Amino acid sequence: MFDKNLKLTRRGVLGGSIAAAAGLITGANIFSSSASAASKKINGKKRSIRFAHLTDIHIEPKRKAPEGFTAALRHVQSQKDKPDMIITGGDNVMDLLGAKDDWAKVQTDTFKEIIAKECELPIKYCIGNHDTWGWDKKNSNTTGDEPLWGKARFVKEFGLENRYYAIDAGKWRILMLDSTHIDKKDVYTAKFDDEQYDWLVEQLKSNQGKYICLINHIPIMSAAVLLDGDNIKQGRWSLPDEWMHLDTRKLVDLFWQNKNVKLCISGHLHLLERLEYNNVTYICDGAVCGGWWGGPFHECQEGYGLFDLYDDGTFDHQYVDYGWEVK
Amino acid sequence: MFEEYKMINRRAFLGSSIAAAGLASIKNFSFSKNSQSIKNGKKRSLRFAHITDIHIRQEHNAPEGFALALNHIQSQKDKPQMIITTGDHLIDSIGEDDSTTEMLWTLFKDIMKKNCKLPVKYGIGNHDYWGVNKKKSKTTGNEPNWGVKRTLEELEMESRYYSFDQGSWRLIMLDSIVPTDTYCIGKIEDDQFKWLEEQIKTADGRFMAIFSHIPIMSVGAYFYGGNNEKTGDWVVPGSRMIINARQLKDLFRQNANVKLCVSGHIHLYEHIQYAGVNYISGGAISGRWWKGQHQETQEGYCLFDLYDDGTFEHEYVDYGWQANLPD
Repeated sequence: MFDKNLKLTRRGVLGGSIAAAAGLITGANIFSSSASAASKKINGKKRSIRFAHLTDIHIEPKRKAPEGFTAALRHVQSQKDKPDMIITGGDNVMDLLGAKDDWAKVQTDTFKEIIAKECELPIKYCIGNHDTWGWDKKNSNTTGDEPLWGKARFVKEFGLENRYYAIDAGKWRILMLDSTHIDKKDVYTAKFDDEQYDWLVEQLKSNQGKYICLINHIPIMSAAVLLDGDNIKQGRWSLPDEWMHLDTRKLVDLFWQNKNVKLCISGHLHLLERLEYNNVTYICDGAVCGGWWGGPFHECQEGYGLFDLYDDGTFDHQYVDYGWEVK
Repeated sequence: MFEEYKMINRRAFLGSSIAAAGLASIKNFSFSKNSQSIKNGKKRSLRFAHITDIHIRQEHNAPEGFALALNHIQSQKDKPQMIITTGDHLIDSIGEDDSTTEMLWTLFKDIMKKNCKLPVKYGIGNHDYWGVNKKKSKTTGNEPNWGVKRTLEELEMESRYYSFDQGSWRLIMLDSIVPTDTYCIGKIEDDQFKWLEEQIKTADGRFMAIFSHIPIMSVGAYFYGGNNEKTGDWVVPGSRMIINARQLKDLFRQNANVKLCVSGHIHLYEHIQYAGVNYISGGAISGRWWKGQHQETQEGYCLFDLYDDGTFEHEYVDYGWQANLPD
């Protein structure tokens, strides 16, 4: 999320180990061991893909973040029913928005070193607001004319085909989208830009025989976000556009026209929430770093999501606390 | 003290997993003959129909629609044991004069008498506060049955908030309305909040379902009414979602047996799971005030099964009403 200092202080007050609460969502802890994760049958249902969703990792060399991320990766890969791939949910590194060139390099290098050493699974990346380099020109000491300014740096460093793209997974198509956009009034706003929206419409149109899962960083829809911080102004709920997509109504309408959209997964809030609206499930999937590597955040433990997408359009999700303790 | 808080919340975690397991099979009702029967090996504490936002009026064949809904509920093969409302029985009494309000109550009660053989528990909605808009309703505020009193009398309610126990559950009905000069805000004010704390404290191992007209947690609140995103931030009036929701969420975390919160008001169906509690907005009997479905939600009601083990199932039922509008 955008105001990390605020969160870090609040953590001190609210940091109980409250919510292993986490595990709650659909108790799908029933998998027997397997060799190949996809293509096996679970409760008589054929599985298109099993993936681990790791969001809000916020890597930097300090805070024991590398050790924590390593623990999470090992935990994922030692699952008895091992996932087919890892998909990140953005905010992979601590912050590039206000990072000078050399500090940006340290963060991305740290991330890549850990992946090279610890991750044998294929990994796909989603871009979060903190993966965007230099938008805070003052602190990052950038002009905006640097060839890798903005999202280009992350796209290049992590070998993405584009800032948004699609993954085919059996009967499902996973659309990886980019939520963060430059805003006139402050640093960024949460939405899909026109170019991306048109691509999304086209994807839904040309994949009508498939079930659709969207993965993007900032939640399209969340109620829990209203309870995080003091969002009441003059007797009204007032929510900054950095916290939840502002084009939600347009997306809700689009999904209503395209009933094959089943699942929208996000991060950003470092909270765990599941909601169903118009037959689409929206899951905000916690955070690998919890409260920025300072302990759990509100009710949410450091964790990751395990998703099973089935050939019949259904899915299971569980949030896994990988056991990280801050000393 | 702090340790104890942690312990309580670990229990919250366990309770939730069980509840969530039940949710996986929503909409898989196997109908049985006896309401208190054993279903899927689980003993049932209560089966009820939740109806909300009836908004009875003479126009648009509303009386016929309401009668249809009541008969639809009572002709369920697995018939519910009772009906629970969460308010807005009349199209309005905030700004209606004495004689119109009288006419509407007569209409409502007449339909109930003719069409409903089940016991009914009533909840208070904002439109059940007679005369709050004094100018429009031509009231002074000194009428003996001004405000909520009129509804309490008409529906023979002993109190505007109350609780009752059924099997291993405690059902708690709140009055979420705090009237303003012309309308209301959604809030559980201090006295009632203390009463609620006491109800939760004395539940004696029972599981709890909490009812309120205005939702405690809602995403429908973003889409209800006008353009809530026009300023570039999300601004949701305090009349759409209970303004002390965070205080309630924190209260619920102290007792893992709070499982379910059911509400109305926004005429939309949604289901949110957050921090171990399920928040369900149950659409509306009247849809868009008897002018058709409201956004994507059909005219309908919710069927709930509460089980002895603290799990529950629910289903939103479209009772098949087609709005009859003048050309």
